[in-house]
Amino acid sequence: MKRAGIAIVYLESIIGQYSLDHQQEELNRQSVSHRISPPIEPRIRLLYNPELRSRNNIIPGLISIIMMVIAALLTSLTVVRERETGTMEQLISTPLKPSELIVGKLIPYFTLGYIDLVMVYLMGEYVFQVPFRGSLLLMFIIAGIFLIGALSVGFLISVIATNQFFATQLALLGTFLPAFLLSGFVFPISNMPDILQVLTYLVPPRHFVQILRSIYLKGVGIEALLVPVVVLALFAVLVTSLASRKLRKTIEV
Amino acid sequence: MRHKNSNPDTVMPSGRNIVNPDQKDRAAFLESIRRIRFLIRKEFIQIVRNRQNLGLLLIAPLIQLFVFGFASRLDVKDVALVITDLDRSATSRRVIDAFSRSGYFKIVAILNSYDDVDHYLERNKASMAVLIPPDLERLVKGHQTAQVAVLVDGVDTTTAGTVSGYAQGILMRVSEEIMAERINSMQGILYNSATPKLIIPVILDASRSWFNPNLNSKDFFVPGVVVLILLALSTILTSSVIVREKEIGTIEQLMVTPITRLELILGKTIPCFLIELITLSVVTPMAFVIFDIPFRGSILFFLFTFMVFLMTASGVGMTISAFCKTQQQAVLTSFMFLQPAVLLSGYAFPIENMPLVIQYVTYLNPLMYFITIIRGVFLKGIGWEILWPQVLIMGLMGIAYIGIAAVLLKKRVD
Repeated sequence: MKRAGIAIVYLESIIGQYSLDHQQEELNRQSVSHRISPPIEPRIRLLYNPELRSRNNIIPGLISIIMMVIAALLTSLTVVRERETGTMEQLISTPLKPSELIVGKLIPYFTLGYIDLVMVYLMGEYVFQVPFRGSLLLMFIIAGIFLIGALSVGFLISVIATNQFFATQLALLGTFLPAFLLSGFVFPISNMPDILQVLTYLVPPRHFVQILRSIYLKGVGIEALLVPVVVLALFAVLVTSLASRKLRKTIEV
Repeated sequence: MRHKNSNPDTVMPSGRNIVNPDQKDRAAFLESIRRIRFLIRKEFIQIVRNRQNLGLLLIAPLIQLFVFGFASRLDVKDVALVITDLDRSATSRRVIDAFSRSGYFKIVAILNSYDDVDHYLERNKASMAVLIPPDLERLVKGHQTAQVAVLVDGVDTTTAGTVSGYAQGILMRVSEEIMAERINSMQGILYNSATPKLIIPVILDASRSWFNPNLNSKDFFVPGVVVLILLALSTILTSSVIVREKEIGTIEQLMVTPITRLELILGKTIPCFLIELITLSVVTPMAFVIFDIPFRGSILFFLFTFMVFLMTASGVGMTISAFCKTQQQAVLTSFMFLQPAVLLSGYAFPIENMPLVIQYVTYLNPLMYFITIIRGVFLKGIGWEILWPQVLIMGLMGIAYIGIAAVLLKKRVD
């Protein structure tokens, strides 16, 4: 479909050019061409990624997908696994506080997420040669905010779920698939129906993909990214507090 | 056994021990079926008795179908466009009109300075900018050529190419219109005698695509969405039911029962398979109802190939479960399979555009064959006569995976 669409666009512009040439020839023949030149000449320029190399677009997006998988999908099993194998009671009987439990459970995945970020960044830099025009520090800070939100989503799922199968399916439905399909990673958001477009604002990877692409290819600083960063931070705070409240409830009951 | 009994050289055992070997085989077979049946019942109860699971198994595929069916579009429409009009003349309005009437663009702002455009492009408020120079009308009226610059955000490569093509086309059309007017107005001056009309040939736009005439990306993607939903379900479901026993430690209990390895695998996967079939029979009609996609092929062929595909996907799940000790490992490993499988299937990214090495890798991807089959069945109405190689390869892959799983599972348990 896409191939056909692009092929048609190319063909149309070739045919259009031919048509223009033909007109020009005809006008020449009728010797009026010195009086006629095309009134408007389009000058098209592609910014940020002039050769339209799709890897420049995919690699930054991929960072967000991979971090979402590590952060949300893997953490979605942490608490429910303890419950399913029956070790949750042992954990509760220790003097561990809920907040300590959350931090202890999430730090390994937080570290893993960062390791993956570094790996993808290095691959992008040296293997795929994706230009990086922005600030590396900025990317790492924003990635941390994104990770906290994503980890909390996984943790929340884990607290709600009663078995691991449910947890993975819910994590898949609630985190991975939106990250893949509603983030603008593959499918342009402007094409979606309006309801879905509104829904994409609730999907953290949508903001993160936009941030990553802007930092990578447009080289913008924090001043241009303020809105998406604030959204990510709000999301992180909201979900973290929700998850810890839920956890406290399950432990007390 | 049969061979030994029929050998005349061996000493015949006492009459009481002689059992018809056929009967014995049948009895063993029936016993095996019985064991599998018990296991299936146990699995079913385990999956379905949990209210959470049941709800999710019923609702999740529908949400997925709905959201992802609508999200998967690559047509270009409503691209955010910002225009800097320094001319503010009739001609510049004409250009702006042409963009807004085309249906592909949504004009978010009309600005008074070129520099303001950066703000919109950098903050992703617009993905295209049209810059109209201050002397547009003067140049056009003076029969000269005015340059109109179009800046396209190249970050989103999927749309940037198409969008710049559209922009070029729109501007060229405006230009042609103005030229035609100009020529018409010159008719009298140039040719007041012999040839009253100047003939300008216009070559018609004659593009037409086959099979999906409106280039409806919905028709192209929705069948794929159905496939992805079931792929994820079957791989993860199958891998987690087996690994679950290992993780909780009940696999030893199963091993001391007279159940054989193959019976265990069958008993574990048949319930999953049934659940997947139920999901399929709910999701497919819904896909037709919600998205109004055409179905040009044979339902029977569709169902048959889908079952082959589910077998292959379950086979992958089984192989994964043989390697993993915890469900977390199983899920992550499933992802290591699912993600490349989806990306290298031709579902979203055309395989022809991939590097040659990667193109060879796609031949190992069962999903690649099935996406080809499904699109063929839905959109082209082709069946067995053209798609048999794909079906055959996919089926063989499935059998191979199940075989690998059976061998590996034995080693691990021993």
